[in-house]
Amino acid sequence: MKTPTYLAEKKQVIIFKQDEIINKSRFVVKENILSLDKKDTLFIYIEDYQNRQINISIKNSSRIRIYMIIKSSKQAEYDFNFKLEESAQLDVFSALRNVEKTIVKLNLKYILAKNANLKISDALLNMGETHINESVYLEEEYSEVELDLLNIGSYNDLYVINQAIYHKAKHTISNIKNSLISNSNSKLKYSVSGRIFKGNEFSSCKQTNKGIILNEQGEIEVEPKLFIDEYNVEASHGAAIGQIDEEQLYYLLSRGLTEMEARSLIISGYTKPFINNIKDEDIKSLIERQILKRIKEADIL
Amino acid sequence: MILEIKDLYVSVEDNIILQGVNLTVNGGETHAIMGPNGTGKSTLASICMGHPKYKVESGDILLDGESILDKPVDERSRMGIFLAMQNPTEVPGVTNFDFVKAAIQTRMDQGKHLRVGKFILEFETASKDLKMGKGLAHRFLNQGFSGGEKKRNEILQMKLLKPKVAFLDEIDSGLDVDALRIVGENVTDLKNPNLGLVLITHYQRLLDYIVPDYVHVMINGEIVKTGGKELIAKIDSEGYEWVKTELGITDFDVRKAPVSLGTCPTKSLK
Repeated sequence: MKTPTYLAEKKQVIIFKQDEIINKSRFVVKENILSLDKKDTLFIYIEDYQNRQINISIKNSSRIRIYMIIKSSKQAEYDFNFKLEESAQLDVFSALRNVEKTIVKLNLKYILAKNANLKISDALLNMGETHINESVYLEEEYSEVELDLLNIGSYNDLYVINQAIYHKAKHTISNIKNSLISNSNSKLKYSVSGRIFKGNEFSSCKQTNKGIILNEQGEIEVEPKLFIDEYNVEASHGAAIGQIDEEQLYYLLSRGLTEMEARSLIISGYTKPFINNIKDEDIKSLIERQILKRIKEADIL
Repeated sequence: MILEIKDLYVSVEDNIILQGVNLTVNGGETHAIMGPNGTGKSTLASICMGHPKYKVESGDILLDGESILDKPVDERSRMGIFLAMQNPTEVPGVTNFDFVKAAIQTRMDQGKHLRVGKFILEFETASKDLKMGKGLAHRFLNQGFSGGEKKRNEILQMKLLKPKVAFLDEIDSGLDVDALRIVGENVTDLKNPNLGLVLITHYQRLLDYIVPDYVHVMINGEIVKTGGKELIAKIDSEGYEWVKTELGITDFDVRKAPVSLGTCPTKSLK
């Protein structure tokens, strides 16, 4: 089985392809259960894997960074269950990059114990139909999640994304930042909810959703929702969806940028902060290329 | 460089704002345009830049003898017109550095490439001159900037883009005394025989730092009086009433383009 070029030099790699698992890492994979410990960076590559469920457990006080690339050439559905033990830190970057139009369904579930810290970066740059249910359970005190998502849709792509954060303990923090770009006839439908249950005071639940629709036929629909059953908390939500801001465009034009350059720069304002947060240079370059390709092939500019 | 504004009439949403403005700015000259609120000073700057909201009803604007009325905003900028805006727009996610770099690159001849090292040095020097603090290059364009920082950032762009004619639209608003001095000194340093400056302001304090060659008073969309520095002190102490009295201008002189109030119902007889 061929390892993708951008993973060839990596030390810790696990490949799930069709009915095979190739483990080039120090970690043990047993019946689709991965147990990660200490401080490390792991690259997971999944391509048309036949088993549906993968469970990943981050041990006490471990600091793990995962890059997860999911590629599908046919209809696929996966369940990923992440469990962060006490004081565990997980920085997980995932990218969907199917090259053919297909249907992909992902169920992502994260459960955080006391003091656990989770950072999720999701890059949705794939073609076809994508359904994602992403749930984060802040089960114990001082657990924290930050979720950054970048979604670029084009052609007739459909994305149906449900994100839900459950604050089930005091002093828990969540922050969701969604950056959405719709071109052509693509439809991006988001339901983003935060729940703080009674008694879980001193918690903070925030979300921002921003989106640009580049074509009259495109659609971005965001339902930001907060369900707060406790007084002593911080909570905020917002959604700013629209076409490219005329005043921003005028400002850039007034400095000599052509309309194409100005539009491109404004769009990069959505993509670049996300790209800059990718620490691995090979993955960063892969995502940059994919964003550029997606923008070019979709004739966004 | 010569910018000529000839008998310019400009409207916005059917209201005539500029009513026959005439102004010539030569390279090396500094002009100050003063006047009460709402008299069209900012409109003059915006129409020269080509803001789509404004419509030229008649007249012309020429840069080095060539009319710019049919030129789009970006082309006017590349021709050498610069507008330091009253309320610079925030562009989230786009860094100051990337923005200015793109603005300089777009001015370069095809096939030529920006020498990034040299540009970084120029950017840092300009930033230091304007006391903008470290990290400016990586901050998102005007996002989270204080009013004063936004104005200084406009001057930073002007320094790096090296325009032929620059309109500074109320660049003094939102600046404290020290920031005003910094902006004033930086703009004065930029003065050269190839740069024409047009300062739009309400107050004398900016003109203490950037000394104008000509002072124009604009009232009701017209330049009604032109003089030298002596006008500034008089306006500062006496306001504009004396100008109106001297020239017999009343507040009712604001003219509007004819508008339709609707049509009357009619009945045709067979």
